[in-house]
Amino acid sequence: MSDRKPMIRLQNVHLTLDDKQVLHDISLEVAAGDTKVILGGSGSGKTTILRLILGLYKADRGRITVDGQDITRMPERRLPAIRQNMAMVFQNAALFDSLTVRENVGYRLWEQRKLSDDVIEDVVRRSLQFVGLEETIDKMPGDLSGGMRKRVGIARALASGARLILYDEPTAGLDPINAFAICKLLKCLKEKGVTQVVVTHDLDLAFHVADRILLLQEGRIVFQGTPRELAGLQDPAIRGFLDPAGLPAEEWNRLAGRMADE
Amino acid sequence: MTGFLGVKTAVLGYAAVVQEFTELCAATFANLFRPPFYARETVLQMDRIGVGSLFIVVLTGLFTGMVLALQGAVQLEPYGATIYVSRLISTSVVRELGPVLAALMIAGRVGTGIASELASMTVTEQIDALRAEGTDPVHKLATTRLLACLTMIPLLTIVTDGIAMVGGWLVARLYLAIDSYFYWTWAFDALRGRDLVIGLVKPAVFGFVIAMVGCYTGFSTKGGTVGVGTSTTRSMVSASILILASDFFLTKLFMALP
Repeated sequence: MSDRKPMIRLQNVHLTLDDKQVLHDISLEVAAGDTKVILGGSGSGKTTILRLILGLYKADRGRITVDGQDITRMPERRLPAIRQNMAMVFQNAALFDSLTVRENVGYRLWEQRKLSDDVIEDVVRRSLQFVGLEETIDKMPGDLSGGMRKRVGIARALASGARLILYDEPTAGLDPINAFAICKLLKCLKEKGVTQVVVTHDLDLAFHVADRILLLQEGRIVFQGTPRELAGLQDPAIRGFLDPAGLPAEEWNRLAGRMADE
Repeated sequence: MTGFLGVKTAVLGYAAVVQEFTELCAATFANLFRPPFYARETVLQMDRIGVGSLFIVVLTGLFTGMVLALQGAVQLEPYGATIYVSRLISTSVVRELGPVLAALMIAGRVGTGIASELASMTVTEQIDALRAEGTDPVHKLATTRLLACLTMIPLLTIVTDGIAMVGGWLVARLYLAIDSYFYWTWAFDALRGRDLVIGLVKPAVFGFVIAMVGCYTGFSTKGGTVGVGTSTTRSMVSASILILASDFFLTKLFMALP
């Protein structure tokens, strides 16, 4: 575990949704500046963890701390202040349909009204430049492809100045070129010291960006450690689990070999 | 035993809906007096709801007034009282038909619009994205729509009432050969201050119902695009029933007042 101050801490969290227990005794920590990747099959509770961190769900039991503040039972009216330091890139980007790309990316800054319009415009342009989409600034979200929407979603997170960014399947449904572009963006942000939590099926992305990886199965943590530890793991249960999560055996061997080389 | 459990589950389900709806109404109403006030969004909604609904309420008012004049004349003719048809039109339109018919038409156009827009935002995670951006979606989306409905629906009802009386006048003038002077004199003579109060309080209450039912069904949508359709239908049905029920209770209340 890193010596740095934990940005996120979940302690023995349990959650039930629609009479079904979706998370069992989840404990994890994400140190400030770290990138944590949460891997797992569909319905294993990965996105639910992001929603708990964001305060969109309330845990049945356990404790959730974000940036030193206990949000477990925090009332909704106090959460916006906590969320000012966070941003989330949703699976389908969740751009606001009625707003242009400019208005989407600068949304939080315009809402806060702390900066002048010129400064906000500059931040918006720089954020779009960072994701390589400055030319889309006047377009509507409906005019963009899936990959572009995700990159605009990342630009929105960047423009908000958040120190913690949560990603829900950032490369899902994208072609390899767009997936690689997003992978590079996440690495860039990691180098800038942004704390990131990435939920994904994409093992290539996971091994490229993660400081630590967490593996979920049916709402339970089955592994937590570094990519190197995961790559060297011989546990047949975890290996068997990773295949249905989208990793062909030869790909697993390639990743494991690469991690060992590094 | 299974039947009892089914009834219990259904009752608890309805109780939960009532509780959630009440909480949403309280939060939305309280936000009317708390910053931020989202002036741009409110004006946009006023334009959509007010100007956008003008055409349908004009048509509703026109044909309602015309039909009332025709039907009223049939009933009054045996007593030689056709000349008083405008009294019947003005009181029934201002007290009942104007507010109720305008509200039902607006529920069909505006209430379902609010429900489908918010439902689409819910299923595409835009509502969650708003929360993630530190914005309270109830404040930004529900309160602005409530304020727009509370101000525009009474105004639209005044338009409906006025056009209905004009519609009645057209029929009275062209088919019943009633002099315009008598028509308008009796029309205004029949109205009392209390009628005008009733005629303005009712649309404000209906505006509250339309906005809140639309917002509640929109926010509580589940199940993707199918859910959007279901929420839109639920919004129309629930708002219509609540408008008619609240009309009855408001009428009883005003009749009980001294």
